[in-house]
Amino acid sequence: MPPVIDMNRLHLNTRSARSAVEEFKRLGEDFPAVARNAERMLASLKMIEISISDVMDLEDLEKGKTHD
Amino acid sequence: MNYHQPYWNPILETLPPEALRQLQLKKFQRIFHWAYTHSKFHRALYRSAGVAPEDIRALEDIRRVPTVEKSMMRQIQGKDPYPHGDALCVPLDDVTVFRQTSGTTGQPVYQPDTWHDWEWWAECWCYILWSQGYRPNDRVFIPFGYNVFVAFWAGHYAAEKLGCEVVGRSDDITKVKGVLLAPSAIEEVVRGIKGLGDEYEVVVDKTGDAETIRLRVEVLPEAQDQCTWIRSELQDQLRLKTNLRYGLEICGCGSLPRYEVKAKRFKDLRNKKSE
Repeated sequence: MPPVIDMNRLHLNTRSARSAVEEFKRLGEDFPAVARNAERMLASLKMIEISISDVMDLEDLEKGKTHD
Repeated sequence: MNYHQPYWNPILETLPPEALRQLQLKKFQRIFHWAYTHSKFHRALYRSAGVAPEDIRALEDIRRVPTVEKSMMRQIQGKDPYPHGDALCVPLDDVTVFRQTSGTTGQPVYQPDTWHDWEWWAECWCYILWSQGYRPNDRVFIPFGYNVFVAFWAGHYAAEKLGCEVVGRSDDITKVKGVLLAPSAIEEVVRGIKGLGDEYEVVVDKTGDAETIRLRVEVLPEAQDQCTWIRSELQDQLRLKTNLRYGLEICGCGSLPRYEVKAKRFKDLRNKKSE
């Protein structure tokens, strides 16, 4: 049986993660160890957005709550 | 994590074809718009073909977009600001990695990348490795030169991302007389022939356009009477393993240099002469 994946939940988490990491970047303006690590986190986060958010934006999948 | 999950990305890899096409179009529109608005070179190329971001409405419209040829890349990379010319789509501060193509078809093409680019590239390789059955408890050996050549770095990063233990080769492959040569192959041959000492020396040199490769080995005192056989065996084995013919010099025991720290047994004098 294929796994049930809660796309909506993943999508919401991706958004809040982006918001948190961008905040890291802002707060780390004078703190290179925070700013540069935040930059790398954003690159990793982008890979999750490619898997989740981009797909959620597709018209025909918007109404579905889960993917199975 | 479920190691039995057959897909690296169970969403994208099982999308219905129509949804996949929608996604491809959306991604193309986004990247085309980005290149058009951020790179002087790309904008000029697309304008000359009479295509702008708003013209890409369906996948078929992609046919109108001209491709970037290697020759174009070589040309713009000779312009200021060196070495990227006006092709960059991001500020230079965002460029964190510099690699290049192998140069087999001419001057290498430089490849400036951001950290995001490498994340994406490694991600692409993760799809490949996962589908081939690689899992976090695997050990991956990548027989690659680990140099400025762009190939296989993404495979390395992807294997790391999967959680595999990655082992890379430790020697430096070089090209001699047009043949790729791994110095470790010479060592393997020398160590495999009875009657030879531990020390040896390889010198690659160039006279005019002709490249030469010379191997000096030490013969042990008890094998002094076998020099003819050793010479013949060396030549045959080296030819078989490295596809090259060597100038051989068989020396007495103790005549080659000794090293207190890391031995430098492979000497390439070609670049030193051109400097």
